[in-house]
Amino acid sequence: MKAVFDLAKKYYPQYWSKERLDVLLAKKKLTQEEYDILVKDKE
Amino acid sequence: MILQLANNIELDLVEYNTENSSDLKFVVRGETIETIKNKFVTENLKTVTVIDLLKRDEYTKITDEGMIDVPATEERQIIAEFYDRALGKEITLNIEVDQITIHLVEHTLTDKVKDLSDQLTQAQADIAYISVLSDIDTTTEEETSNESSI
Repeated sequence: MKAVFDLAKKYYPQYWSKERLDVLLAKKKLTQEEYDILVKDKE
Repeated sequence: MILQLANNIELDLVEYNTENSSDLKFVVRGETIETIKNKFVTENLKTVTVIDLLKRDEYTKITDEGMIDVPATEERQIIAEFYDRALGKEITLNIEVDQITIHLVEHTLTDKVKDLSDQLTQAQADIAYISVLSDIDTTTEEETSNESSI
């Protein structure tokens, strides 16, 4: 799970879209907490 | 005059200065900053052609056989052609005369390397994303397989 979070941190938002994060959250590859951190950091 | 880009995009050219090939200056009319940004994208800037329009009005020619009406003609003559340019950092709109001044610059090697680097990173990001999703699918298959054997 941490590996996916690290990848998301590396690639979002320039190379991974928010839609991709939504999919990863839905597939439970990211936790809600990790998702919030990623999105909030880039706002 | 006409400024023609790739994909048959044409602009009404008022004035140009091509003395400095690394910084070409063009003044066009009938465009907005938005339309300029939409038209002057990398793909369309693969070729940039300056075309002069030679217009001749209809006239009457006197020959030995009498008077002949010669119809109006329009001839296009290519004055200059440039390749692989990029839109410069300044676009100036003169509202009073509805003219826009733009600069076309040469792609530097640094730009090209940066483009390639971005493309490579995007490809790596896509592969990483697909890998993460594939992992989900693989897990599902394994789980299905285990359930079958039970």
